[in-house]
Amino acid sequence: MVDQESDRELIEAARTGDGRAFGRFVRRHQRRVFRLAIHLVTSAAEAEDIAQEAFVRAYGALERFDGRSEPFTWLYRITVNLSLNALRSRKTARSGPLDDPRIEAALVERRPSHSDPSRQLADRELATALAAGIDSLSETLRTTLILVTVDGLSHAEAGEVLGCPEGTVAWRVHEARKKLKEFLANRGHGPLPDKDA
Amino acid sequence: MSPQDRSFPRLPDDAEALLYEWPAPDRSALAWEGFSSDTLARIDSAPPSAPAQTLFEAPLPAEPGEGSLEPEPVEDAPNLAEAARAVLAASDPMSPKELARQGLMAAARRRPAAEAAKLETAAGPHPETAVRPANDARPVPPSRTGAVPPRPPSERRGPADPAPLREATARSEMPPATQGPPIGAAVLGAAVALAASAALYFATRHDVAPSAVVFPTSEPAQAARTAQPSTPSVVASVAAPTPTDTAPATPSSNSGTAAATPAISSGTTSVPTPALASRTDAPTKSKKASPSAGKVVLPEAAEAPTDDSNAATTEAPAAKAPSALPKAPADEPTPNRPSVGLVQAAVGSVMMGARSCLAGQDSGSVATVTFGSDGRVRSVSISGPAAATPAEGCLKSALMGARVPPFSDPSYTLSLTVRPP
Repeated sequence: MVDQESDRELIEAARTGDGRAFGRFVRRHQRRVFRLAIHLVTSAAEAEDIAQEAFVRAYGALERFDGRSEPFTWLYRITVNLSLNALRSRKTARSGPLDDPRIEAALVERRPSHSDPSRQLADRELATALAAGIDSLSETLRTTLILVTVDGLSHAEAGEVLGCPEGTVAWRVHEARKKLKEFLANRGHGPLPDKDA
Repeated sequence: MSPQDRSFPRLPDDAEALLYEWPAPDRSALAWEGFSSDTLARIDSAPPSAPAQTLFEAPLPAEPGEGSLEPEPVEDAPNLAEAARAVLAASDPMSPKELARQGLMAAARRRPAAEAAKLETAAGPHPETAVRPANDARPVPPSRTGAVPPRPPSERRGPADPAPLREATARSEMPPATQGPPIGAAVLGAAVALAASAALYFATRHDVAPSAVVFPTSEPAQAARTAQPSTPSVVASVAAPTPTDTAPATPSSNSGTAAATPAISSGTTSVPTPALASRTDAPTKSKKASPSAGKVVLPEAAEAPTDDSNAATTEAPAAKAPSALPKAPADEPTPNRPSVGLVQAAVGSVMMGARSCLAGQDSGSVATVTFGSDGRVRSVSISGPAAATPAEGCLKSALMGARVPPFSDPSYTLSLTVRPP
């Protein structure tokens, strides 16, 4: 069944004690939140924990939601903060691309029926390089790029999540793309950028 | 690349596609149900204490040397050109109001205040007074009722006064219920804005390869170039009508440019219809009202986008801008397949409609869109939650409207994820 209440209506209902309304809010956004978390922390298990924790924290802070932003951008901000906390508290770096859920998802979900081994290898190399390039970015550029490109938020929405103006989001996306392009070029994906440009 | 990112550094095509369609590992509906149950159980068992405030604060530090990019920088003419092209590429007919709104916004960004005042003066009188319905209770400005003769712009406001910009923009953004009649003025504004931006851009960016900014052109455009040697060729191709988008151009013995603008000499005053071809109607009306009616002054428009109000309001290039679409210079080889940027622009132009089909759904669906070599969508298939639901037809209908320039390969297929709004 497709529920038609807006996020705001669900949050308002949850604030008045309607637990089922918050349940619908969870069901509506859990995939996106999980997807965002998995791209930020690059671990499926951690992402699952973060996604659940984000909803728990959001529920505990319903009274703080002042309605100035959209509920989902508010939820996204919580998710981003939790993900960054998880990244910063990691004792060691992740081992490598073999257990990177992003790469498997890129190969399995995008081209599930691809049977050409050479094409599969090329896809894997590209996904690995792209993931490594994204991970090489600073925390700020990486998070902004993920929100805007991978998750598809508008600059305005990303600005709400990150607490910065649209223009800043645009600048960060521009910088991130520039660095990513150079990173990929150095790995043989695309032409090397013109240093004079 | 989404429309908002189109001016940014581009990655290789495959990387762009992956970046924008990067999925998360999917799970079964049962697994997601379990996930939400676990989440709600955690909520129930969580202590009632409120989370720390830091969790709700802006998460990231500023990047060293961080700057700001305006969403549509004034200097970035390609953005405007691409925006116009994306707008016009949309198969869904755009309402005159929307066309006007975008045009006026562009005009407001590009023109100094005094220019906007001239635009306002030139665009204002006729529709507000002539087409005003009897039940429109809005007050009519004295200058439009004839009670007070309109003053020249220089007397009305100082050149630095941005009020005209605000007024022009505000009028364009009035809700439909109150905007009512001034469609003619608004369409005129849009036409002027598009012409001025295209002219300024092409006049200042001769180094840009035409294929990067202009679609293939038609023969009438070539004729226009031949007949008007002083006209920047790119402007002429912008003005060219296309057989698929507008009524066929009837070559005239008067001039090449006249041949490219049949609507201008037709004097049609019918109410604009949503069809793309009819977008030239409103400028036609302005042509009739203008002192230079019947003349098409492409060179001036190209050379002086910030020229006087006559040049800004009566010249038709903007009126012909809608016909700038998918054509390429005749000497430009047809690409094997459309560039990712053009595909994304085409898809972006219909994406809002497609996303609205998924309103209320939890997750996105994957659409596989196949373009034929004529640039039209040949087929759309949907997989994911929307498949076999009413949303599937809605999605197909929305995505079928995407258009890309013609290409030589038999077809071009892409998959894209349509997410709920």
